Amino acid sequence: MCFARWPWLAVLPAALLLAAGAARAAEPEAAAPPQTDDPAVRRLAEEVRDKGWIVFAARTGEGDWDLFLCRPDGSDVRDITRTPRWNEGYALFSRDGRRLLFRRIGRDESFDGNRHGAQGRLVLADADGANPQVFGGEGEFPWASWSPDGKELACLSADGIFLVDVATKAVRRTIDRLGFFQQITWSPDGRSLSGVANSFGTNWSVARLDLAAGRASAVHVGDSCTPDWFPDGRRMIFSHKPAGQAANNGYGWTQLWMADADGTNRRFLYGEDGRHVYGGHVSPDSRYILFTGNAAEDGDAGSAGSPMALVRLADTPIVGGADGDIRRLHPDAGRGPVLVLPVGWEPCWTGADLSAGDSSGRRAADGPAPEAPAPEETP
Amino acid sequence: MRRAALLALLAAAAATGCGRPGSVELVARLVEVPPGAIREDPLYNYAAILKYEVVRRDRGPEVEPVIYVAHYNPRKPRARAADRFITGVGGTLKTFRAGDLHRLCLEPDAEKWYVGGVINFYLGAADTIYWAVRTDAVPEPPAGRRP
Repeated sequence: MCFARWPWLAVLPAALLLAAGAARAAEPEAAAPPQTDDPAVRRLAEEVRDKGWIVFAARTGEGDWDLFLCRPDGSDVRDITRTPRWNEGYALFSRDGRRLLFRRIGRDESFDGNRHGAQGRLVLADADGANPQVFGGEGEFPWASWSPDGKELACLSADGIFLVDVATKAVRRTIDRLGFFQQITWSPDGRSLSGVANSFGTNWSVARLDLAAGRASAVHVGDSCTPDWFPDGRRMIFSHKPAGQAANNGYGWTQLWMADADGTNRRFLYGEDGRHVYGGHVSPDSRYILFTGNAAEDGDAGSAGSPMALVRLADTPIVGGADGDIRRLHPDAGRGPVLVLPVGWEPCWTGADLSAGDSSGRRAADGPAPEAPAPEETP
Repeated sequence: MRRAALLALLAAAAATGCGRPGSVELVARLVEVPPGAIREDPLYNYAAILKYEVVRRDRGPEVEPVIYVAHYNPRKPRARAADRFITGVGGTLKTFRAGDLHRLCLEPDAEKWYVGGVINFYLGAADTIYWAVRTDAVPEPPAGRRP
């Protein structure tokens, strides 16, 4: 949940740091992805470079959290919120790539890895961050997720799952939440929601809620979370920590898995001995998977942070990093290529063309994004 | 004699009071703490479902003889269980131990009160999961006089 500093900054003279202050404010602290000599990784980077944009949250040089866009190869990083009074996170593109939703909290608050979708205020904006509008009051519209046409939001609270009309903020339908408690995402075909639920095992499971029937079913039971849909709406990607791992003092490492939405055809995608892998997200063309994670499993809100990464789905299963327990469990898994991206949290990928802005961190059309005033009214 | 001791014990428990939050107030014995129900994992603030045998109901609607109760942050003393996301839980209990008596102030239907991860070794065992608003320790009667 936090981001590494450029290590070489520490050895620069203070005067140089001061001179660079204005520029740093427009970039995440670890904007430049690590360079590689691996030709397979370079080919992967070239392959994805023009396949849309990734939005992610990262800490700025000024210490607050902003939202950033970058190309899928990690290039052309630009700050799209630039709000030093607030921290932003949990950014989701609408399915058509025209709109963006995110949560905004106070500068002195921190996002919690299990509550971030319900923290602060929901803000809706254009996909490039322009025209940000605070949509609700503190804690309102929790865990908002776009409907396929972008006209509604699915939200989750103790009172249930409610579908909200974006134009009027009217609740169009309320559904029993059936044990769902976080990370709901509306399926691309509009028929289901994915989410994390308590209803199927001793602990949290990835599940699917059929909107027409109001019925929930498990996709993967136990120690599973951060589900998201493949663009076809028939498969899901999620994180899972298999039981019985000896590594990490018996706690094990969380890995990326996928399954059909009915829970069948489950398979391991990516894991690393030494890092929990979270936030799996599938590219708009279904050919690549994007993820993040860190060793402490807390999103690393207070320390070094962790880079995002990208792999080809066709190259999976992949075990990254040094060989260990996960390699022993998946001896035939590949080793890559793994394209390491800037440090970032909860990435989301759109195939839309957002290249109208320049690469200086300032949006070309209308200059720096204004800080939206806190609303006095709530919907 | 045993009955008199029990009544004295329950009277003492009532005297300590719960501050009377919640719509149900009762004294119950914690049946067990399933292994793995209370994880020593500071990263996750979850609720654990624990099983109780009801000894006496003091307030609120009738309850089953055996109830299931969701406790937030069970690895922490009740006085420190609340956090910036989940407020309004507390009590004097420091540790959950099988066989102990607790004075519980509860709300029925934990889902209405808590949105978060749950560890539940009793899936499907009950229609109602109670939400523990306050959990106080109740002193045990002298040996041989357990209720």
